Amino acid sequence: MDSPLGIVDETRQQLVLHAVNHAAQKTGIRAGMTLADARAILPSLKTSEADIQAETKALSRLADWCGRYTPWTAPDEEGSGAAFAGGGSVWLDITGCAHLFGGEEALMRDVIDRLNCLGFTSYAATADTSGAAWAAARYTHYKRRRWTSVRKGQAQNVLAPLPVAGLRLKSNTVSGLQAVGLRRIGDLIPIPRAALADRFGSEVADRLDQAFGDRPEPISPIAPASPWHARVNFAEPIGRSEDISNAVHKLCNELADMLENEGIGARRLTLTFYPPDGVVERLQAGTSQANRNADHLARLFSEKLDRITATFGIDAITLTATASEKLPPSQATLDRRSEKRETSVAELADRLSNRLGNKNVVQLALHESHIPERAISSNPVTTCSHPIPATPWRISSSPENQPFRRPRPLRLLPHPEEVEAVAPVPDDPPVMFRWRKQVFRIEHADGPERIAPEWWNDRLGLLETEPENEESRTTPIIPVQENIRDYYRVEDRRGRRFWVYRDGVYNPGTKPSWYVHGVFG
Amino acid sequence: MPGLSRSARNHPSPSQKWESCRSPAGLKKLKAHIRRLEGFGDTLAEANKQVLPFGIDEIDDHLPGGGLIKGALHEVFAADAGIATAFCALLAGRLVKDSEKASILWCERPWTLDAGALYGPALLQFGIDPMRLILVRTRRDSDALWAMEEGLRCSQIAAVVGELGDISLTASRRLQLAAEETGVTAMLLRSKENTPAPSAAATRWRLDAVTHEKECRQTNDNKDLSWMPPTSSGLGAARWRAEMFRCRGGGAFNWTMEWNDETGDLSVATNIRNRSPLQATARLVG
Repeated sequence: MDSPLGIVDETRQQLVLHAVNHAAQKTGIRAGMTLADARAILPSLKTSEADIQAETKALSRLADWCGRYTPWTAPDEEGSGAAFAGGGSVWLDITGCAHLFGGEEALMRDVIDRLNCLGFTSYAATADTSGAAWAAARYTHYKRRRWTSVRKGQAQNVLAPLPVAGLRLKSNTVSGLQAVGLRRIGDLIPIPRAALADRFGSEVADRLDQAFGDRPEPISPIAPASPWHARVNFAEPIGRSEDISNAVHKLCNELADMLENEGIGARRLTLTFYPPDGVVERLQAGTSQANRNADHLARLFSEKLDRITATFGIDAITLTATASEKLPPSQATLDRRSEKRETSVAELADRLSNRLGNKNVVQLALHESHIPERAISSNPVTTCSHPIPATPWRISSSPENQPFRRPRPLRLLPHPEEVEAVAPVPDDPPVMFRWRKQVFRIEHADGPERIAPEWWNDRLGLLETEPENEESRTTPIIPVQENIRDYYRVEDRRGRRFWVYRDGVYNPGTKPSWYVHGVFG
Repeated sequence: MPGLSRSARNHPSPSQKWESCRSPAGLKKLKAHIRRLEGFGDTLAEANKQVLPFGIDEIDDHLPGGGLIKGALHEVFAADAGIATAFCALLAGRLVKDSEKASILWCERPWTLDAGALYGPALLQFGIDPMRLILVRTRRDSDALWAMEEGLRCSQIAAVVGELGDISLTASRRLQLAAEETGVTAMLLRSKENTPAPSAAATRWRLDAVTHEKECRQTNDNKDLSWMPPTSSGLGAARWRAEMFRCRGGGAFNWTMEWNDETGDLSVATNIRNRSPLQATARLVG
C-alpha cells in the first residue's frame, strides 16, 4: 500500500539514497545507492530531500521520549545515518528498570508497540554490550518478531551468523571485508586481531572487542541520570487535571521518602510528562533551600500544571531531583496537633519565584559603591543562601558603622530625571525646580553631599582619560556616572522632600543641569 | 400564636431596641453587638486580636484597642509617595520588631506611585533590615494579590505590603480574611489617583506632606518680601499629615506627625506654626 520512497542526500556531488522505506526495499533498492542506480531499478521511485539536522533533532527527541523507561537514554549519533542504512538508534540503559515493565522482553514489546503508534518501524534488542545490542537489533529478525534478547554470555553465538555490517563499520570497510570473503561476524572471530588491524586499521578490531565486551564503550546519556527519580505509569492515558495533580502528589511523596532516607533535600526538580503522541513536556521547579516536604514540592508544580497541553492524555510521569543538597533528618513532632507544618519563608519564596519568575522575587543586597544606583542590587531569593547570613546591613547606633552616614531617599528613581532648576551659583541648592510639569519651590535644603564618580571604573569626572578605559567597565548596564554630583536634600513649600543633584562642578558660562533622583519620606 | 410570641422574644422590635439604648449600659451592649458583627468580638482580647501601639497617646487613644490592629488589612493612600511609603515602612519595621517573625513581603510596583523603587539603604532608618525583606515585582494586579495572599498565609512573615492600583471589595475582603487567619498584618499602599472605593480594610489612611504655614498666608510668592532663599542648614524632622478617614470600631481622625530620620522617632507635632529653619536645626542638634 505504501509506494516506494527514498530520502535523497547530496554527498560528494552525487545524489545518494539516505534512507528508503519498506516498499522500496522490496524492489531491491537499498540505502547508500546512488539515485541513478535506484531509478534504473524503479523509475517510479518517489524521492524527498533529506534534512539531516531535523533528523538528528527528531532522534534526540525520541531518546527524550524513551525517558519513560529509564532515566538513562541517549541518541546513537555515531551509529545512525546514511552509512548505517539510514536508520537511527537510541540507547537505553535498562539496568534495574526492566522489572517495572514486566521484564526485558515485555519492555521491548512495549517500546516497539508505542513507537509503532507514533509511526516508527522499530526493532529492539537487549544485550550485555551496546555493540551486541546494536548488531542484534539491526540484523536478527525471527519471523515476525522485532525484538531480540541476547542472553548473558551468548553474544558470540548470536552475533556469529550476522553480517559484518552489524559491527557498526563504515561502508567501505564492510565492502573491503566482503571482498576478502569475510561476510559474517563469525568469520572474523578466529582471525588474529593484529592481522585485522594491519589490513583494516583498528576499526574492525575495536568494534569486535566492543561487541563482545572486551573493550569498554562509554556512552553519555542526554541528561545526567539522577539517582533521585520517581515514576508512575498509567494503564490508560489520563487527562483530567485532578488525576494529573493526584499523580504528581503521589510522585512527590515517593521522592520525598527517597530523599528522607538518604538525608538529602531537593534544590531543583524536573517533572516530565510522557504523552502517547511522543512530545515530551517538562516542568521545572527550584527551591531556595534544600527541601523534601512532599506537600511543598507538589505545590510548586500545582501552579504550573495547567501549562501541560496533553491533547492525548499522559501515560507516564517521572519526577527527578536534578540537584540536591544535604539536609539532615528532622525531628518529627510527638504532638499530632502541631503536625500541620508552618510554611517557612524559604518555602514562600519558592512558591512566589516558581509562579512569578526568579528575577521577580528578590532581596536587596548591598554593594561597595558610594554611587547611589550602584550601591544596591536585587538578587533572586532562590540563589541566596538561607538561612539569612550575617548581614552587611548593620543597624547600628554609632554613625561610623552605618554604611550610609547621610540620609538616603526611600524611593530612588530608576533613572535620574532632569529638571529645570533655578539655583544661585556657584554651588547653592536650587530655589525652585520644575519636574513632571509641576513647580516645586524650595523652602529648606540640606547639603551638598558630593559624590564623585568611581575613577577606577569610570572616566574620571575632571580629567579626560583614554577611550580604551571604556572597555574595562565591569557593569555596562548602569549608565556610567561621568561627573561629580552634588546632592541636596530639599523640602518644598508643601513639605515634600526630594533628593536632587547638580551634575558636574560649577563652570562659568555653562548652565548647570539638575536632576531629581529620589523622594524622601 | 405561641410561635409568633417566640419569634417576638428572639427578635425585639426596633422600638424595643431603641428603648434599651437609652441607658449607658444598653449603649455599651449595642456597641459590643456592632463590634461582634464586625468580627471583633466583645473586646479585642476575646477576638484574639493584638495591636501595634504607636507609643503615642494622642494616636493610640483614637484607635480601638489602643493601637493598629494586627492581623488585619490597612490601607494607605499616598497623597505623597515618599511619605506614604515611609509610613508603611515604619509600621512594617515596627511589626517585625514587635514579633518574633522575621520577614516582610513587599509587592513592589514602582509605577503605581510613579516615584521609583524602594531603596535599601533608606530602609535601615525605618528599622527594616533589607536582608529580611522579600521584594516581589509583578506586572499584573492579580499576581500581586496572589503574592500578598501567599505571604499572609505564611506565618513567619510579620507584614505584607502591596502597592496596588485598584482593588475590588472582594479582593480586599480576601486579603482581610487571610490576614485574620494567620495574624499577619497586611498593608495596601495605593496611589492618590485611586478614589477610595469601599473596602474591607480595618483602617484607611491618607498620608500627605504638611504645607508650610507661610505659604498659606501668601498669595503671590514673588512679591513676598519675607521670602528668603532656601537655607542649607538642614531639614529637621519630616512632618506628615496622617489622616485616618476610616477606622473599623473607631472614628476618623487626623494628626500631624513628625518623624525624625536621625533617631527614628515618631511624635505628634504640637505647635508647628511658623517653624523656622533655625528651630529645626536646633532640634536636630539637640
